[in-house]
Amino acid sequence: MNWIDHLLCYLKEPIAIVLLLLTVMPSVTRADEDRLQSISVTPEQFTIIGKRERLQLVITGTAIEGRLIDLTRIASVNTDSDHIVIENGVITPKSNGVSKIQIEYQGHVANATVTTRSMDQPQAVSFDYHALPVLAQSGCSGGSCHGSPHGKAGFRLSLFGSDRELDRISLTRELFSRRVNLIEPQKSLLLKKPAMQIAHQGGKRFGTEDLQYELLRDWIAEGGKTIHEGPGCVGIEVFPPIRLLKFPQTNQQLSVIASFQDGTRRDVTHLAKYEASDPKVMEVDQTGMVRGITRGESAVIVRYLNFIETPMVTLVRDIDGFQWNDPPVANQVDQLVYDKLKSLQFLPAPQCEDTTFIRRIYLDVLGILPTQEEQKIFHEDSADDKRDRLIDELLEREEYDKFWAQKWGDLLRVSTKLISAPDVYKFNRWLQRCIAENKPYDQFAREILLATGSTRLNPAGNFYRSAGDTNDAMETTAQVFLGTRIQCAKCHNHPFERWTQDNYYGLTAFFNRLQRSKTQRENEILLWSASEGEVQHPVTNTVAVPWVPSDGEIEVAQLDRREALVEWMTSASNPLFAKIEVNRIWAQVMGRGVVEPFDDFRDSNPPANSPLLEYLASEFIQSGYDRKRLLRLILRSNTYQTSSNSTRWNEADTKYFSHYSPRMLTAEQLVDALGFVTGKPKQFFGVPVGTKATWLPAPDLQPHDRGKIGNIEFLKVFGQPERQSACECERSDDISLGQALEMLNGKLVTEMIFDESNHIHRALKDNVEPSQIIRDFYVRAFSREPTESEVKFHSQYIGNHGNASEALEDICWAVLNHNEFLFQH
Amino acid sequence: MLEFGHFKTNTCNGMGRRGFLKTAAAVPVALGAGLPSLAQAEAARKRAKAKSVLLLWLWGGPSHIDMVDPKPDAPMEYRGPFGTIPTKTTGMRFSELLPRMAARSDKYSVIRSMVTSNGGHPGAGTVGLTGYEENAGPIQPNFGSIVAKHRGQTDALPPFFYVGRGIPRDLPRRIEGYGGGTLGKAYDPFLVSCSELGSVGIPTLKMMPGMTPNRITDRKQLLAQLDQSQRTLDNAKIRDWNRSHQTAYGLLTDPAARQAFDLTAESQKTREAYGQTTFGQSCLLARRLVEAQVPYIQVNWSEYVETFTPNGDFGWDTHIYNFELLQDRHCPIFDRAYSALLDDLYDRGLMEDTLVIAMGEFGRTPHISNRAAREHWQHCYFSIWAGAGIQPGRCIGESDAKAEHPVTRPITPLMAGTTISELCGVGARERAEMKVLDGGSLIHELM
Repeated sequence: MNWIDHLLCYLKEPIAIVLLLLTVMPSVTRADEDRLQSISVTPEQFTIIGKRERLQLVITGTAIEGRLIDLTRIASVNTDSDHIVIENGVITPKSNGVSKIQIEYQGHVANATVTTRSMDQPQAVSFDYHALPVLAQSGCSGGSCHGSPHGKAGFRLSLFGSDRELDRISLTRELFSRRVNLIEPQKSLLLKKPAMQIAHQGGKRFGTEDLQYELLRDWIAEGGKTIHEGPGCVGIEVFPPIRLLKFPQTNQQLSVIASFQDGTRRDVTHLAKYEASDPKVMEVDQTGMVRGITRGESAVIVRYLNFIETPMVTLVRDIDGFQWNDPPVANQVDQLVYDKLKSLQFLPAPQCEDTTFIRRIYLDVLGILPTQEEQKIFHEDSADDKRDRLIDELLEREEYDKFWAQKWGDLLRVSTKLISAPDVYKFNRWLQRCIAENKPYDQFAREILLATGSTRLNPAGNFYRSAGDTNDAMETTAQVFLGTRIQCAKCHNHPFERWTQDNYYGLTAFFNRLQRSKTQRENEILLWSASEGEVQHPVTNTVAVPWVPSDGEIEVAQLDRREALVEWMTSASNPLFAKIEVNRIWAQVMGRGVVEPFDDFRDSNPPANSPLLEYLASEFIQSGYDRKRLLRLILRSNTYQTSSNSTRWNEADTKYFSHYSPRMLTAEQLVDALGFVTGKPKQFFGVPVGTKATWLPAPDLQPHDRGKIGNIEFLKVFGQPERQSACECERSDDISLGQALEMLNGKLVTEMIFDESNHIHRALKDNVEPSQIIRDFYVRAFSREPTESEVKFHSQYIGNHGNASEALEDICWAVLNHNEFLFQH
Repeated sequence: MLEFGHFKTNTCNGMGRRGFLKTAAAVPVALGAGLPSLAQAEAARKRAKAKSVLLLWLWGGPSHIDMVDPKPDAPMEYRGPFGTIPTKTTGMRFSELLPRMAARSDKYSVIRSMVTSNGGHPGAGTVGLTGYEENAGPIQPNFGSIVAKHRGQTDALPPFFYVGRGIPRDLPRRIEGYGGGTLGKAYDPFLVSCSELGSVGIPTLKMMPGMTPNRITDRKQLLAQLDQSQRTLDNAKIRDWNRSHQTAYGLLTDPAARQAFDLTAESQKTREAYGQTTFGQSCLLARRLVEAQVPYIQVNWSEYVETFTPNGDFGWDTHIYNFELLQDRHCPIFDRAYSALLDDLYDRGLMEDTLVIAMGEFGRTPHISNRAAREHWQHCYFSIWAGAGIQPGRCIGESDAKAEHPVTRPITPLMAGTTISELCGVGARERAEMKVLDGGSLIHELM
């Protein structure tokens, strides 16, 4: 009856009919596009217990071609029961009973049954399950507000309600309990501030009509009780766990259901907190509605209490004129990369030229530029597999060992600050040997982590000198070998991750018994394991039990607890161990990890291409953790060998590896390259003559004069890490004005160019033709011959200038300042 | 860990209505710290209460008891020869050496209960500029580096300047915490020096031997032509680089790009108001940098702490001739320059967006030494805060009758740094992401 009344009402108003038609029209056309084969609803059966609870339905249509479409707010949802009220797919209970719900869309029908119970009994607002989640959801207990370690404006909450005791005191006891007004609840500061009835620096968090306000007000009105009776929450479930959306249908309603110890389930969609891991791709509002913005993938971080789930959402769009061109596939890597690109409608770039390839592969594998002879040999080779053979050849060269040992030196913090200089050399040689022998990665990790005895005899033990105490050893291990930045959890539960403070101390327990004793020899440390010693949890004051991520608390039989950790770490039940290393190697040659930042693995930072990472990791494990084999696999792929020139079909892509992304040479590569092009390699202090910057065992062997800022080390300006933290992020790739000044008018560059014994001046003395000198620059700096017009243009410059030596210096400078030299492409 | 029972107002109005309007739109929530692009730098600047910070670093340890915390009733061996004068702040008296500042005390607030943990210059310098001891772990970043990292590279000038002769040091060594620390060299300060006549020297812009601006111009043109003839690469990093290169080139060759450093553009009257001293002109240069939107400028009183030793450039380390130097040199210079700076910032309407702090690394012994001077004293010293929402006209904290120890809550350099970063928009979350200023709390009394 009702809708007829409405229609009659509209009929009286001709304009309204037009409006009505207009609003109906789009859905009619949409219906044409998406012909459905069926619709479904989740959950189909549910029991709502208590009048404060509600239920979010998620209605999904399956299109003819199999794609899923969210219909939650489009389909008509009806019930003839008066026990419940339905709006926007949300069911609010009214009285006890069983209600049948009919969902209808385009003639397809789905049904759900909702039972409502305990409506006639009072249901108190729970401090733990209502009030604290509301504060977390509204941002009050977030890290930038009152959840910061020192609170805000004198009011401190635990981060996302992780410490209920602290919150209990802050909310109900601190400042003479003035934050809650039990007599006149609506006058509580806890309500007036976030509702902006009085000034609040954090702004308006919710209005007086909102559910959040209602829950907090009722909680106060009921006496602000903080005692929890009843079952505890054991976990949450998010529907849908994974979803592909296609423009223009980019909305998706999520539903979050919490399970309790007694087996009951409650819908907490309206209490959970949502955040998109890539906010450029999509946004999620407070009701759990995902709205896509652009093509790409993103996880939604759903948090309720300390439980986090991360459903994945992929957004695709039909691009006008896009046609998949079936590019050739060199190996499985390409297949997986192309699968992703195809689904997101990006076209991979074509193969790079040989000249680009040889420069790129030398820089990535050896850290240096190819010589003229090496280029000549490569270009004269006309066999089809010449690239593959070059890769194999380079992996066996000594420069590879040294260059990759330096990368490990960064991670393991090899520097004279923490380890004495002789040990720096020893440790570095040990690393080089491991790389040269291609020591299996699990064995490599084991030797480092389980090092015992004298650091003189066993250089790997120096790891425990850089990581000089229990916490440091655990944090470094977690970061380097588990790809987890666990430091946050030292003081509070990790804000974006499942990691809790208990986990932090549980992991620390493995390292607590390790002893570092000085011996009578200078700078020698003896590592050994004591048979007792426990870690105290700072909040609970209990003894922390050894704990590992997937298996939980474990019994340690070994005397040296580290053995149990490493055993678990390298076992099949730890998927991260292989993944972190393959991702690191991938990032080192591709410029960007499949997971990025590449040492920050967490559910809320999903990989750009998960099957790819899985595949690489499984290959790596199957090969017995063979790093060279893995590198070969990656380097031989067309994905690695793509051109850096983007096209309109892939320029929008920055994370799915459709084309090679140019990046600046690292500080060390740059110094070596400058020396190579000018023929005046930089000499370093404290290492054998001829040592390249990319081989330096530590960044601080040279007593540079840091007192004068105008004269700082070139390497530092270009981001060489001091090796103070195990985070790869310490190597800065930020571009600064200081770098530009160094290239334009810096000491190192200027001296190399002006040096009387450099290439230019030697060649001029030997009467080499200037055009030949220019050719040499090009071949050395850009790994290619200059074009005819370039030779002509430079010759003209020399002719106009009059002074060939000065003109060549200028040309050399221009080459060194050119992007084609400064960037790897 | 919890500060029970500590609260400052009864209304909980941490901030005025206007302050709210300015910050309400800015509740920063972003996962992951990407590289700040130009637009982000602009957004970060907009969000910050303090668009620029000007730290007047009184290197060497200025004597608190002879300047802003006089104790005329203390025993003779403490109080020193100077009389006291009233200030505009009720109940607060200064020594007679700072008359101009006394007349302007309604424009700033003084903290008299600063305490630091180190009693040697370079060590205390590092604590004073980073909040942490040098040997407590990796060297932490200077407060300026934190702000610089947060704001990101802007188009025109580096984000963090040192105005002074060099990195603060004593005879044996320099301060470890002068620059980027754990954030890396990229966030080291950009050094410019300024003479008492106002001529500005920029070491990194000094031409290398054999180079001239003309030759650089020739080369740059060559490079530009090369660009035209060659295939060009393009991505965000390359655009960043091209911009930096262009800016550096401009600074090297184009006088207009160096306008911010040109003190001759100031009227003679203004230049005289600051005093024809190195510190005075440095303050004026700093004000020009504020106008050029540089986020963080540290003006170093001197390079060396020592006054007379070889190389010394009259720092505040007055182990001998304390009273003579303060009376005849240091205080008049500081009093004039600081007052002129405040007046100038007010007149130009910059005060609301600029945070000005004056402090040293520690104070001096209230007990007069047997050389009739004062030694190092880390247990009690002062700092002066103005602008960017700091409540002016307050006297915060109190020292005991002999100015030896605070009787109120001690305020540490870490708290100072936390307050600076907070006002610059580097909130708790950003600090946690950068892993800086861990455990620092705010100086609520200033707000």
